[in-house]
Amino acid sequence: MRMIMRRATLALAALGMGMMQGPPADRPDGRTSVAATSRAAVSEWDQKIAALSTRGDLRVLTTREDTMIPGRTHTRLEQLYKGAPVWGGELVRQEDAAGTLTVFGGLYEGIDLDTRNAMSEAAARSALLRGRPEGSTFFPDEATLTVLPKPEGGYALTWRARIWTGSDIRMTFIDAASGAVLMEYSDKQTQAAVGKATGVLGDTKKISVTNVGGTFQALDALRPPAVQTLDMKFVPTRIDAIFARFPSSIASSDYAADSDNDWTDGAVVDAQVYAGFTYDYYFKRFGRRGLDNANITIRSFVHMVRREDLLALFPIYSDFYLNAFYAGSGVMVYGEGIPNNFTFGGQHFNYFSGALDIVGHELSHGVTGFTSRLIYQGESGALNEAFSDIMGTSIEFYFQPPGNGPLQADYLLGEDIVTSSPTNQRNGIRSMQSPTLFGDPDHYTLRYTGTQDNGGVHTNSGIANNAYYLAIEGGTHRLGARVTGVGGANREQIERVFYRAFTAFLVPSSNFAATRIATIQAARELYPGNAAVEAAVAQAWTAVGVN
Amino acid sequence: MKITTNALALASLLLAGSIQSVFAQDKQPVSGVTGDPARGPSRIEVGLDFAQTLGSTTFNSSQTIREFAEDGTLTGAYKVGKSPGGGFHIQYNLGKTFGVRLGGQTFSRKSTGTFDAKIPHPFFFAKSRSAQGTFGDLGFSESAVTLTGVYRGESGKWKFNLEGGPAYFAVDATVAEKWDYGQVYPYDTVTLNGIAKTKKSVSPIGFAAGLEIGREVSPAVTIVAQGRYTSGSGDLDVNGQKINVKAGGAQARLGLRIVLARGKVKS
Repeated sequence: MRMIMRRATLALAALGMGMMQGPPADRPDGRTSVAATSRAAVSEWDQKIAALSTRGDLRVLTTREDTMIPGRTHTRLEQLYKGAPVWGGELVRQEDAAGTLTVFGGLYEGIDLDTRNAMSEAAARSALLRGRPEGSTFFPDEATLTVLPKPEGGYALTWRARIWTGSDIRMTFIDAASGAVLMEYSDKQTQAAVGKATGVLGDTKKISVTNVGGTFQALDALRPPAVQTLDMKFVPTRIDAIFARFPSSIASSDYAADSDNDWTDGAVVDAQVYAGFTYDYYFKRFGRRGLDNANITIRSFVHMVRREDLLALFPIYSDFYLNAFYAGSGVMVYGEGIPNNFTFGGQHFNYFSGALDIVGHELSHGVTGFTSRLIYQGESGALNEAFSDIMGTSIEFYFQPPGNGPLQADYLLGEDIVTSSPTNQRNGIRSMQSPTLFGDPDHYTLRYTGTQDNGGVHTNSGIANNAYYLAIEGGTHRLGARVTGVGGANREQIERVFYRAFTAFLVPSSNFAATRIATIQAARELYPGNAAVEAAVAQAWTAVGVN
Repeated sequence: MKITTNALALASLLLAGSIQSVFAQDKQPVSGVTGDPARGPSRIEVGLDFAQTLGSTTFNSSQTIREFAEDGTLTGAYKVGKSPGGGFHIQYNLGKTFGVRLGGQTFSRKSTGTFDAKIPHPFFFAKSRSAQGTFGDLGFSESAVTLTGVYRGESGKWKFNLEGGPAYFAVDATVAEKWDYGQVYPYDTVTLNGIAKTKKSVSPIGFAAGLEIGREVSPAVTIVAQGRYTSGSGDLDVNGQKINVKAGGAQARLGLRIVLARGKVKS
């Protein structure tokens, strides 16, 4: 019997499992990690998986299509010992049509248990419920004989169940023979939390945060990347200290927090929510996973300065009042705006995080930084700005209804937080529909060629912005050229064309002419059977004088 | 369930007490009762029935569940299936045509629930995700104590009884308490994996009515077939929200009626 009981041990040892990747049983608890990525290692693991499956020591748990790379599947294989799952013993095999690509996971060695003394499932269920609050139930309604690797080493044969106690879900392991509780923990996974929030403009929305010991912090635990908002609490030097040793210097107290999960600090709320929206847009529209397409953490900084300290601090920290910028490495910094009784250039400035297109704009600089890396000067710099304007506006149209009012999508940039007094005639900072309203060129022949603003990066962006607008909406350019746009209902086509061109075809030194060619190429590739898209793009560039 | 047990115990005690008194009476007739106990009209009898519910009963639930800072709903349509059960009673005949019957019945049934969940979206208000699922093997046991008036009739060896009266039910129902769903980013859809179940009890008052036809096979024993209908409904309390459940329904019974005591009923 002892020989039989050592079957799993011998089987794994005979297969030389531990010799493949790293030393055998690379953890004290007998777990051997598997990370086979080379062709030879993968091939050998294929054979081992086949052998272990034949012996009944592995079984397929799930097979899922790869949602990121078409044609691939991921199969999870559960380790078994005499038919009982080994807790945590699992392999995941990535395959395509040609065969296995990778094998990751971990298996446990040295299991030597007698399964004959296990109590019946009925007895186990009684034992599992013993001492629980009245009404406790199994959730789901099952108890599973499971091999539990013990933290101190060795293994125990257990009955495992998730038990709903009315207020918690307890993952419980009891000794299969005695019924003694060997391990138990909350499986309720309550860390992620969703709160109610009020944005800068007084709108009610949800905010994805984390419950940390009863206090809610602006740490999104529901999206694939960490999305965080840091509250500098009006200490402008704090961000300097964080940047000096980034990100290790970030303290828990730096994260924006709320005690009752009913968030009322609009600057925090919109920084957190709109960063999430931006991630969502890139994922849903293009399948992109964040700024670097690898789920880089997105960190937003707010409240560097007090509005009331404007006169004293503006000379030093003007960007903390009247700007928002992408600082690299997934970091966003949002200006505080200025007091309501002040104007700048005849306009009021609210919290910069309160405008979805601004948040989308700044984070899209991060996308550019991980793709084309357009040099922030001259034409390439203007294209860099234009891409951010285009994506910011696209994000706005994705989440907000079209219209001219607050929290509505239009072709103005920043109109929700930059408002004019008293007529509301010039809200925002740029117009993609009519760049000249803000003094920006709408034709290549009118481009700024001086040296200010890095050669007019925020000015000449109007040319590409206007091309984007015309490709969607169509119409007659101010100088007379007519464009047949794809129409607002098909805006996704132009969004995809510009995204593909800017992220896949442009290089740091690309200019307007190259961007015209790139967008036309993207239209051909994305919509080979729809000449209207390519025509709209070509006509739009022609209308703004880019040939 | 305790109520059921207590009620049945009480009925058993009554039955036992009646039997004892009947036996005592057989030995020493109660004053006022005359005639030949072996040949007189039935005075006290007991019945034992095998019963089968004939149809399914249904009830619905609608629960509000807070999720992602918003209220979602879990609506359920439960169908309680047919099942065998049993019943017994003791009957005291007040005269040739009227009697009073104290009885009990019990059924252990299975129910299936079809659920429609509207689960709030984690990122947006008013964009709930819908998911549906049907999950079976939900328990539903019901017992009842009935006190019915009986109208009796006979023709030769054929007997019939028509009964009706109040019924006290004890229902233990397993119902959904919360949803168990799966979702993956971006969370625009959900899959209803199951439900968290909870067992709740309610003790409604209802009624019972039935018609039975029997054939006397000996002076003390009659075989009967009965059609019976019982009904009751009450509210289960699940986390402060009410789920109205229905107990009873139509049932067919096959049983024995045993005469424990006879005698001329005092006129």
